[in-house]
Amino acid sequence: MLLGLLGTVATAATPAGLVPELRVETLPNGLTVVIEEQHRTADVAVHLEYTVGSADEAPGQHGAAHLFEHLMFERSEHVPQGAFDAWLTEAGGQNNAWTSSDSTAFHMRVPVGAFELGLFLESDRMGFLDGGLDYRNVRNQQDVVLQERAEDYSVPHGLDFDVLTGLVFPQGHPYHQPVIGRISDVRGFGQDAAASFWRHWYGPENAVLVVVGHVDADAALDRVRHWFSDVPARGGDLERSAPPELSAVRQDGLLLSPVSDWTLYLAWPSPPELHADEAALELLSFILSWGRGTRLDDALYFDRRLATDCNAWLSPGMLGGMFVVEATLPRGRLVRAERRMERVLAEVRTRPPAPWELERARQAVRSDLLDQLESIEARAEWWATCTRLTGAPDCLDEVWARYAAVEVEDLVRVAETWLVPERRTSLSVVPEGYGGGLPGAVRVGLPE
Amino acid sequence: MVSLLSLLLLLLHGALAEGPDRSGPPPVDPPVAMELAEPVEIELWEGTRLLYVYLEGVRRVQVVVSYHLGYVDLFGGRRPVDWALGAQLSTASGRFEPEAFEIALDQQDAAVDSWVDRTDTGLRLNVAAENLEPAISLVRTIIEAPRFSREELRRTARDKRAWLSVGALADAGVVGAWALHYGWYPAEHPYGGRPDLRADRRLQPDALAELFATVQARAAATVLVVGPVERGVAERMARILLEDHAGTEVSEVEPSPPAHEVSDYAIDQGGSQVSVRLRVAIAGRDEPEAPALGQGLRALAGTVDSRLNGELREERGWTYGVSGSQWSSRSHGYWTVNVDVPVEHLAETVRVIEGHLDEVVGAGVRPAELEAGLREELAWWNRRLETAMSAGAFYQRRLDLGESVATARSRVVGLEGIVPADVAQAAQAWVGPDSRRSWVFVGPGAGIQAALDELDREVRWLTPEQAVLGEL
Repeated sequence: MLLGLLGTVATAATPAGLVPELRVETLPNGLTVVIEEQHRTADVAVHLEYTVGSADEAPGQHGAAHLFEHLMFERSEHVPQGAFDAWLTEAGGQNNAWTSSDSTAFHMRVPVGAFELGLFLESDRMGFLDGGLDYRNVRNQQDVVLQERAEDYSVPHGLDFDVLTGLVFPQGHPYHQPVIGRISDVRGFGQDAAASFWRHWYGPENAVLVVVGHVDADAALDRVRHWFSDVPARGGDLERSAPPELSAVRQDGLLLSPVSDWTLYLAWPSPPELHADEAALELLSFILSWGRGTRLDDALYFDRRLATDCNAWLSPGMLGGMFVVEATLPRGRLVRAERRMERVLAEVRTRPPAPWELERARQAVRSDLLDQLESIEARAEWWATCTRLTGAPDCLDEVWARYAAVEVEDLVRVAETWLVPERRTSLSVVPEGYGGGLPGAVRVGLPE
Repeated sequence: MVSLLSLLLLLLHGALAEGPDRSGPPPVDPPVAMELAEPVEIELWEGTRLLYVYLEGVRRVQVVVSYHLGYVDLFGGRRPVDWALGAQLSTASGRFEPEAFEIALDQQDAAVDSWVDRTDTGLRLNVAAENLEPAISLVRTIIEAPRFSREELRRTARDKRAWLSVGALADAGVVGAWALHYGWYPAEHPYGGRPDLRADRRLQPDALAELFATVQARAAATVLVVGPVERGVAERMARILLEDHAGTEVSEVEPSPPAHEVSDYAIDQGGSQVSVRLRVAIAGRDEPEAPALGQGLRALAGTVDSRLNGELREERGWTYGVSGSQWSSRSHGYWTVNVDVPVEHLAETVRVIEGHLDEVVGAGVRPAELEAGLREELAWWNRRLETAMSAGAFYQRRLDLGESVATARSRVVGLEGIVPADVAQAAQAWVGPDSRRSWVFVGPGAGIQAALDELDREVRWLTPEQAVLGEL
């Protein structure tokens, strides 16, 4: 969308809130650059986020985005095999990456004296990764990714989230497939397919680069312009098609798993990120589960001895989210737990949260946000997320204003709108060798 | 037309000339260790002091109340009552029931936790700076009148029992870690205390109250305040917290290194993956070889570009990653290396780990690895005061170790003087073939046994329950 635009310079508004002064520029090749001076440490955080995730994978390519996260650490045209990590750590830097359904982020933190090195490495893999892609490193990272999949899925409850997501978002929805992918697809993703995937999605027009740290904003911007000046724009269609409408189907799944306790998840599709109801739903999750005096925790754990753990959370997504409540049970009393969880949720309507409950939830969200913003890496990630979601890095004040504006009536309304029985999905996770699950639950799993 | 073409060529040439030079990595300026402030020490009265650090630009204050006696001093080792006191002390007070206490903390944007550790007993408050005073008053209600109830004791005992007898058993990482720990420290060692689920159930609130009263009566105490708070306020807060405190004893117990013959262990947990753990004894932290050993572990398994990660992940693709950690007290320490691999690669993985360990012992590490280790430590040092949490943890660590910031800084900066021969020498002295080593393998029993046969190695087989409960 930014293809062909000339470089434009702007300074985002600086409200007296959460968003500081940010330097924002779109380079001629389409790369969005955001820079914030932060002088609390001698480090710089460099966060490069591409708007490509597992939701963008074609059939037969499931796992490609995550595999690509790995391949980006391999050889590029000017960075030999193994040098990315070696050069960075030798400079005192550290780095990592993550892939979600919606995006892939590469984040590094370097002493300011290695800032140029960080930019060199990021720009080289954005501009010239194809010069280093070969059979050997594709094959090796397929092995590593499949081993990561095996390790993740072999820990107790390691399968749960992916199975639950696959139930809430049915076949055909971009979120149906797990980010880690399918074994056959990962294994079948060859060197040519990798180069093609990279050319399509990992161009500057589809990315935002955020720099936060011990830099002069003008000088840092100059160095970014320099290092990314030879990275060509790619072109191509980066638009996502709209996801299919989720039908109102109540479904109950049963996962037999190598665990030693029972877990019951109840989940509902929730609106996409930044939807007007998102804030109220997240606050509701804290009202349900945030320690003593919250509704789910009291009903299942503190006042009764049904569960050993319980939780409520909102899983966000650009194309839609999930609202989840869960309980871990030492002795498989799933039906009883379900009844009690449903009762707690129904009571949101019949006994609306008191103002103090809402304020407590709001305080918890605010506190977490403010604590995060003390770290340069978290700041960089926030400015990137805002850019990805809204096109500008300074959405945080607006996001927070939505949380600040939520009233008790909103909590009741979103519960009535979104947490409806006919759209509920349940997943009973039961130790192998035991039967059970909720009545009528159908055995589910993940495709190989 | 010609002149236009020339102009275009000139522009193109200019653009190329000004483009980035990608013929090699750009030069790097090494980090320089920042000077971090020493805490101001103020003796409040005999046996009671304040350590205070003013920290600008963060929103939270961390306040630690540390009583300088722990379970090793009090009992010679872990007991159910000290575990329970650590879990319960910060959940309520004489004036506040647990729920009221938790809600009051949330309202003040505050959190409190507590512990009984080997050499200290403590409470820690993290609070938004504007709510410091009311939160201190809340913590004071614990110190002047702690509350322990039978119901809460039962709850924590039940949770612990559910975890140890159900939840933990399916987790190879947890099972392996406990097998390694209990194999390393026998029950009679001060660090080797085993869970006692029956004793947990018999605990009475009075026992916890009595223990806390003993700690208060005997132990010297320090209040550490780190955050955006003026000295006068910090001192006033410390005096409120420790009003009437009279204890003066400071832990001086330093357990000897465990000396029994260690074994290797295996646990059959099914599946296709094996969780591999290796522990090797090293020098205590005050020994001259300790810094060189740290560099050796880093090169072996401590980072993403370590030798083991390079071979097992990047070359062979057998694991998502290898990790290594080093722990040490004044008298002794150990390296621990962890990796998960498919069981068919277990035997070769063991050979690879031993091979790289032998290489570190034989030849030390390369200068580039030492340089990377130095820069990593310097960068780590320079990040300590970034957030209220990191700063609080940094100063609390200094308090726990009883060392100044200058001493900690000199240890980091001193890595510059280490040469490859130092690492080889330290490794030969501590982690050579005759060193104290223990392996633990958790995964599918038959596959593990096949690998052990191939390696001609014997282990003691445990059940997950034995591993988690320390019944070796």
